[in-house]
Amino acid sequence: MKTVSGTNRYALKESRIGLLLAVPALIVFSLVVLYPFVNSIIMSFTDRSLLRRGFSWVGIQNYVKIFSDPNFPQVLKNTAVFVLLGTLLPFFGGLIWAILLNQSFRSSGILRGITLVCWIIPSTAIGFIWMWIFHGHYGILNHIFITLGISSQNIVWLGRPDTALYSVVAAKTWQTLPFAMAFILGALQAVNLETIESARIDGAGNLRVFWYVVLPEIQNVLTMLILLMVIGSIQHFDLLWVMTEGGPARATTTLSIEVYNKAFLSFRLGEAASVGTIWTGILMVFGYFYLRRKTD
Amino acid sequence: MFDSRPIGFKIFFIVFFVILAIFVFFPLYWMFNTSLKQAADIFDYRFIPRNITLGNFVDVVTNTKVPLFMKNSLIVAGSSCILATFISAYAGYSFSKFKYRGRRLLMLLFLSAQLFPYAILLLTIYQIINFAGLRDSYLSLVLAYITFTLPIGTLTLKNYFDQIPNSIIESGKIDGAGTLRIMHSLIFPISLPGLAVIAIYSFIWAWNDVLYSLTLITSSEKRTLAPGLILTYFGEFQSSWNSMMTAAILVSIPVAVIFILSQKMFIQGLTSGAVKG
Amino acid sequence: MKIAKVVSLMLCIMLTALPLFSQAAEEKPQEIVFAGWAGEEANSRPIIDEMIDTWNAKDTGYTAKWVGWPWDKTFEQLIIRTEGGEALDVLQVGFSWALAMDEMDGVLELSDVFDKQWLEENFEESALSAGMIDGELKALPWTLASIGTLYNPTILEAAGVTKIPQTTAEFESALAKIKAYDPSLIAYGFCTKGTTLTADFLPWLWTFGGAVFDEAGNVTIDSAEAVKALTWLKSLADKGYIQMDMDRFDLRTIYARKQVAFYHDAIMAEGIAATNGVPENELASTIQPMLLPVLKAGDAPQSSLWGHLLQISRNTADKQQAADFIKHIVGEEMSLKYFAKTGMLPVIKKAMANPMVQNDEWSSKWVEITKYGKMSELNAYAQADELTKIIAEELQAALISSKTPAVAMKDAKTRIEGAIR
Repeated sequence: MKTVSGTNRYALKESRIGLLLAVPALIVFSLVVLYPFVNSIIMSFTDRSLLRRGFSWVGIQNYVKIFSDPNFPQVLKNTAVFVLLGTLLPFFGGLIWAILLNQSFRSSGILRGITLVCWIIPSTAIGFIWMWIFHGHYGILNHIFITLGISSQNIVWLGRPDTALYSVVAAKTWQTLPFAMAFILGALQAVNLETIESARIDGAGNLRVFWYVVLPEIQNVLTMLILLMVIGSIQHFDLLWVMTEGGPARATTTLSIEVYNKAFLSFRLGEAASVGTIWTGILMVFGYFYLRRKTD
Repeated sequence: MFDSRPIGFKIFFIVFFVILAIFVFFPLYWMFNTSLKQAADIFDYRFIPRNITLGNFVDVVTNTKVPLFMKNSLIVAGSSCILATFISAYAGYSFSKFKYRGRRLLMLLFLSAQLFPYAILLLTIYQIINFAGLRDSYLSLVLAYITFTLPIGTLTLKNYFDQIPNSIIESGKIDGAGTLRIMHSLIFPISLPGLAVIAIYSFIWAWNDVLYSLTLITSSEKRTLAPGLILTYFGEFQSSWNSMMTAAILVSIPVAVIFILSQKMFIQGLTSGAVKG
Repeated sequence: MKIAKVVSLMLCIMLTALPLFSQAAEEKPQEIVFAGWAGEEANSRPIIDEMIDTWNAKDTGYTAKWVGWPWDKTFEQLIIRTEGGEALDVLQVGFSWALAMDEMDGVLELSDVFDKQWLEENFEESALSAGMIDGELKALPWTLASIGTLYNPTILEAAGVTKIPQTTAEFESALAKIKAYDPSLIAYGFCTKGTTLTADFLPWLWTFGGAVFDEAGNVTIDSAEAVKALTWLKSLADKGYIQMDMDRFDLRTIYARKQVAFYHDAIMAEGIAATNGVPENELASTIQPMLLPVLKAGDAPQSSLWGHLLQISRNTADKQQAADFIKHIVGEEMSLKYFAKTGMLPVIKKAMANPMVQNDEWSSKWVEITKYGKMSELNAYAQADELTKIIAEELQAALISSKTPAVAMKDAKTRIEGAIR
């Protein structure tokens, strides 16, 4: 298949080198992740709690409990909204921002540089600036809205179930957009300008150039980015925790907040691990199809 | 890259430029603006602060441990980013260009471990680190951070290498180069954008992590930035988020400069790699 | 093969480094580790350092050392590290954690290490009871006071509230006047964010005659009284006196900017207001403590006890030394310094009797509030924090009208029962 052709002996040696290359990764992986991973899945079938020594096997009781929890569907829904919007908005925002900044105009270089600063600011600080923007009493956004006459009174963005999650998504978008921008920009700058020129001579407009010339060339980086951003959003904790602590009334409780609460507020490791296992299970279905597409 | 003459493009450009510029720069400006204000003026919503002071910056540098935390973070995030990128690149190349049994299963396992919530893995990782006697060392953090980018790094880089035509490898073979030579002098240079994505991803992961750093590190001399900032500015009775923003801005600027410089380098590397390829 | 070499070299270095690091970690002198969060907070950091330095100046053979985390992460860190067998000796814990620390078998029984006479000489019976678990002394109080109610006299006066409200009816009419006087003010700074709202809610629950648990331990948070308390609070929110998305920190900041008329806080409220920018000479006209209004005149004004406890970890290297260290920090000299610096009331009798505490106007008022102090019922359960979270979520649901008060309290009951089963 992908192996470079050669004599049989040569190929054997080659594949051994191939395996060897994966060895460092496998060592680190099995030392630090595999055992905790397997251990956590096993833990999900026990009533292990940090508040007492020892544990007993409870079978699938933790899973039954989670699925019968009336709050669980909302957690799934919040997670889905957060992951979907928290990936798509920064992705498209970053894509457009990269295209704009790639049109080398005056100060485009400076703007790129400043954009990067957003993304290196530690998450906690990002959480606080956005909390301040959306705050119901001294919020900057309310101040602007009232000054401009858009609204007449303060809106408690983070204290309402219908706006809280979207407010956190806005902060997440702000945090991740520069990441998307930087790498799409890198990919754009590697696009062969001659191909574009020749397409243009053939009469292609901007849309056609983007769709038929640019997109195929940057597609590689784009897929990578989306995968990284999806995983980043699923695991995301900081902004949600700082801005809303999962509230009001669970309106922003995602799976990662739920797991944290179960593990470090209730100290019920068994239950926390089973939430983690369910979440991994759901995602693995997607992961499987992703890999099958990629390896076939 | 795009023809900026058509009116459609002009509208697209202006509309999105205004929206995105406000969205991206306003919060950043506001943080910066706050960091220049005196404490009494924090809630003064003038666009340009009336009494500009650099006192906040001086305070961060002289009265807090933030510079120390930053040094620690750079060490930890820097080493985990370099190691994670190399290890994932090798593994990704191996998965992409060599065919051996159990490859897909291995990848699936990699991916599933990556998707598991970090908060739970922490407890077992803490035990392992304890067992190995690595508690309160940079190494414990580096190990943890590497492993969190390793699976996703390997998979994404594998995907990336998949798209590189085998003809490049063939041409290297003809020149008599071994696998490693081919990898280092042919494949990696043209994969720089992909490698950089992983490097930066793992850097940011390590840079922002609070939970692991708080748990695996005990002594305040080895604290990294994210928990360090929280420790310095928040507690049962204190919540100095304005000072914290100053500190956050202050530590972010030098790192951003490093990124900008390396971005230039990596674009240069890219073009030269493309020529070679 | 250059790279293969580099990789194997890296691995070798990592592997050889392992034992090196572990050796460095194990080579420790005799240490007393004092763990908690006080040493991380700007206000108390200098005095914690002083406590440690003065101990180290004595020739005990043990060096004291501070290990700390942010306040809201301290509990999880204490639990994880106790489990992991880390060297910890003296632990600073919150009221709601003490039982959990004991339940996980993480702390020592203290009557073994402190002699009875010393305890009797220095502590009031009532103070010691804060650290009693199942008849055994598992924690010593370090500081003890109620969560009180604060009001801004200047705002009250300007709004035409002439008398400090003593009943809920008076309180409500005061809030109405304040709102009418200036709608941009936060009339009542009730915490509505995170889990702090449970702490603000419990005294009201008691005021209305409700309770989370009855004598037998049955969950009674869905009682008519409790629903009435919540319905009343919700009416305050509906009228705009209470605002959503407010945590204690927001309220402190806004209070110091003189935009909150009433709110709840611990005894350090005055110091916090000063830190947040209220000038020294305006403190008295900005922040004053009061008793929580009662349902009808003659009822006892409710307040919930708050404070910090000290425990000795089961991982301690030398429990006698740990006990001596505790004696050092709760002792007269240190606790008075602690009081002077942070406003935290001392517990031991001699320090309490000191003129510095006795003549302090603020503290005397607070002692008055603390007289009615009641330990939160949730602290009788190791899952106190989880219960706090449950109640907070259900309160929020009622305040934002996604559930009726009755349904919210009923759901709280079901969830609490599930959690403590």
